[in-house]
Amino acid sequence: MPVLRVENLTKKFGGLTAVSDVSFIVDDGEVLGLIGPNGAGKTTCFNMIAGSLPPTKGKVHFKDETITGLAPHKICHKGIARTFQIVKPLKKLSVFNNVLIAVLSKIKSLNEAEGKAREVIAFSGMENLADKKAGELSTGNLKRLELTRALATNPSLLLLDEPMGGLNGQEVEQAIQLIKDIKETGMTVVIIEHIMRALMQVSDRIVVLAQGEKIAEGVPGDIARNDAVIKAYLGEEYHA
Amino acid sequence: MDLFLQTLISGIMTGGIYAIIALGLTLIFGVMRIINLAHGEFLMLGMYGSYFMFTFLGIDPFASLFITTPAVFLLGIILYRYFVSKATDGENSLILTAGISLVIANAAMLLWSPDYRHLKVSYGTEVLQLGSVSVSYPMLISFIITIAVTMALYWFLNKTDLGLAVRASAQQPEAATVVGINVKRIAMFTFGLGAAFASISGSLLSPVLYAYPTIGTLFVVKAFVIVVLGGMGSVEGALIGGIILGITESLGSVYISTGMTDAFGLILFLLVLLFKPSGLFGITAR
Amino acid sequence: MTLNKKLAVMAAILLLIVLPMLITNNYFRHIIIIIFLSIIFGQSWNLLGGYTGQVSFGHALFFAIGSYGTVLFITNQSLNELGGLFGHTLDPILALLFGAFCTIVITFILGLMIFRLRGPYLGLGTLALAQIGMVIAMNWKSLTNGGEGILLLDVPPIGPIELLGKLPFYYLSMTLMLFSVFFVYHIINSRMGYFLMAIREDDDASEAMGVPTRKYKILALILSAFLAALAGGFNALYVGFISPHDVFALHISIQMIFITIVGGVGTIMGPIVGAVLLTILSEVFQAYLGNAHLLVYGGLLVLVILYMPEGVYGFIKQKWERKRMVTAGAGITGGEPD
Repeated sequence: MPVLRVENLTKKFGGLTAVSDVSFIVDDGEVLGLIGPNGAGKTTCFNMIAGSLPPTKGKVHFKDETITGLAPHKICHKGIARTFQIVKPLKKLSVFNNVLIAVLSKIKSLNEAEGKAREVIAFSGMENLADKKAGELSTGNLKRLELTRALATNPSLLLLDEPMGGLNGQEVEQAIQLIKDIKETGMTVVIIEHIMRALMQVSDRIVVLAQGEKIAEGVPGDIARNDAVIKAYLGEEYHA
Repeated sequence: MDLFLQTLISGIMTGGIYAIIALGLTLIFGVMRIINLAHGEFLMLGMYGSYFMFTFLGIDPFASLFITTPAVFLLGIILYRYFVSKATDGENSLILTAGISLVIANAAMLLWSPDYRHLKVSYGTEVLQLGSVSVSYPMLISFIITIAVTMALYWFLNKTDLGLAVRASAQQPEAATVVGINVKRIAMFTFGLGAAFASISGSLLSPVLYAYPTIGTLFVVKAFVIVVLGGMGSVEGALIGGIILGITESLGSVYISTGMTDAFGLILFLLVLLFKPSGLFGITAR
Repeated sequence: MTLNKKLAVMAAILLLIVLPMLITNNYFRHIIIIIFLSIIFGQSWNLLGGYTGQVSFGHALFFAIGSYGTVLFITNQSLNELGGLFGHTLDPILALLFGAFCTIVITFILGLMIFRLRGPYLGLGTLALAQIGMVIAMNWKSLTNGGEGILLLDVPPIGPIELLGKLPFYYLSMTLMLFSVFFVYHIINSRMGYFLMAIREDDDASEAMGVPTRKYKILALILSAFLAALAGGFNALYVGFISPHDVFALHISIQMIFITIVGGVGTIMGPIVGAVLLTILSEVFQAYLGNAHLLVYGGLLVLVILYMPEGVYGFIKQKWERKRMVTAGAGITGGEPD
């Protein structure tokens, strides 16, 4: 049974259709890339899956449950964690406390939670930043914190929204490695990303959205050669 | 039926004056997303300004408007430039303007004593008979001025470049900056304008109500009810909201109970905040 | 808490217990009682405003319900019979608890609705609620005696201790004050405390991390209202008279905000510093400015918001910490600390 099944997901804002009839599945342990030009509706899909936006139509199934329309914190408890495209650090709190809070949502004992928080921070390689205030971090570290927090909630599905946005070359390499490490643990991941070389490296399969609709799906190699995809990104004139 | 008509008319007139206060507040909110708790104090200053002009210089309040209003306009600009513009977010500006409100109201108390001041114009109690309805003369003049002011504002916002700049800054500040509008200056101007409007309504009310230093608190709450009802940032909303409040209070106090009148407005306020926060015509939060 | 801190706290408490023996002037005892009351104000508002980031302009509502609940427990025949369960020896305490109970129930219902509002809209909404409360109290004459207020002629004793003079009220307010401080301290250092701070920093991020934000906002509101209600109940017993204009007043809500913001938002010591500052300034300026002493509140509020966002306590702490770093750094390397 697939970990995530998105069925006919649609979102309309008044007269504007942001997402139209999008369906895809994600299998256990898979890394699915979600790509498309700006405004394709990728983040809107994430928002609907994670519960911050109710779909106009369609359903979201997680493992054997239908989770459409549940509150975000409930969806987190079911095992789905997400990062935000524009990072949301808890600025006045330390990196450690940021992660601790994520852990505390599932682990009630403060002691146990502190231990788990330290583990996750170590996994991400952020130990030396643990006491720094989140508001003082560089972009690269902010993105890493965002990811660490998501991991700290002990998810079975990770939704990453442009985790490499704004990173320099070296940071992108580190991010790719981190995602590969996460994949090693057997985690299922859906990742929205614009940095193609990174995405192609980590994804098992890719779904392409354009103007709210799914226009292609397949393995990275096929997608790179797909006409519709090229047209969507580069426009009519560049096709063929 | 006569009583009803009478109550209705007097409600509309009061509503008109309320509307001007609300207009000032809604402009400030529309452009700067600031909830100005000191707004009532501008009204109070307008009232006192008119009182002093009348008492010491014998100038009729409807005439001294033209002197007191620009003075308060300037005060508004100064307050914005040196204080209000530095507040970092919505809640901070709420607390900041609350502080400013306390300072102005209490300074007034110190300077002018908490005594009630009564501006007695010769025509203060004169009444115009329109059929079976009697209309207070000063209220009628105030209402006419209200309509004039609202029309002037409408013309300003829609037909002048500056007005257009104000609207642009309200809708899309970043885009406005890109096309060369100095949004900071516009904000400053708008705050002054808002203050001026409050001052005008104070002057209009001076022949009808006693002036005292803390009268601002009474009106600021009413102004918020109107602005939320009509929609934050909407000029039509402020006018219609003002009239609705005026009528509600008037009818409520005559037909239900005088004591609870204030509560009706407040409950309406809460209901709108909870269920239709954008109000009747308002722009929703950016 | 470190051992040093624990010892300091114990010493402070001992000092407070002994203080009224040293200060026998009733006026000064009154000032300290007001300071204690203000500290409760501060801890109450800080819990919701400082730690959870929900700014309320209507905390007077909770203070007022606490006041009326307390008074009604004493003056109302049927309620008073409950006091008989303890042989009428604990009536004032039960009265306080009853006031708190009424507040908690009403606050829970309000909490279910009010958090649709965010940021400054919440401030406005709570302000409206307090005003509505005042109007209701003015008009529900059978319950509250309307604008005339209720006079507490006979405050029952606690056991053998008559509530007369300053001493008993000193110890009662001291106990409530210590309770409020430890109450908030305990919450802040628990799992709930972390959730509240997360909500303050970023509501959406907290939700995404699994924090049930609505539930905790309501909880914070109720606990905050609880403390305000205790303050209200105490005030009713101490002053002996309440009326809607006194207890629902906007200036009470503003005082609570002032104590916390000026003292230092989001810290335990902040409201304590703010309470002391507020009370002393209030007394001093009332002599010169009469009712207009609120001008000083306003001025300080403006200054703190603009230039000392961490409050007076935060400001002092920063300066002290910088000084420490500089001297430490200079000692080791003779240069800039990193």
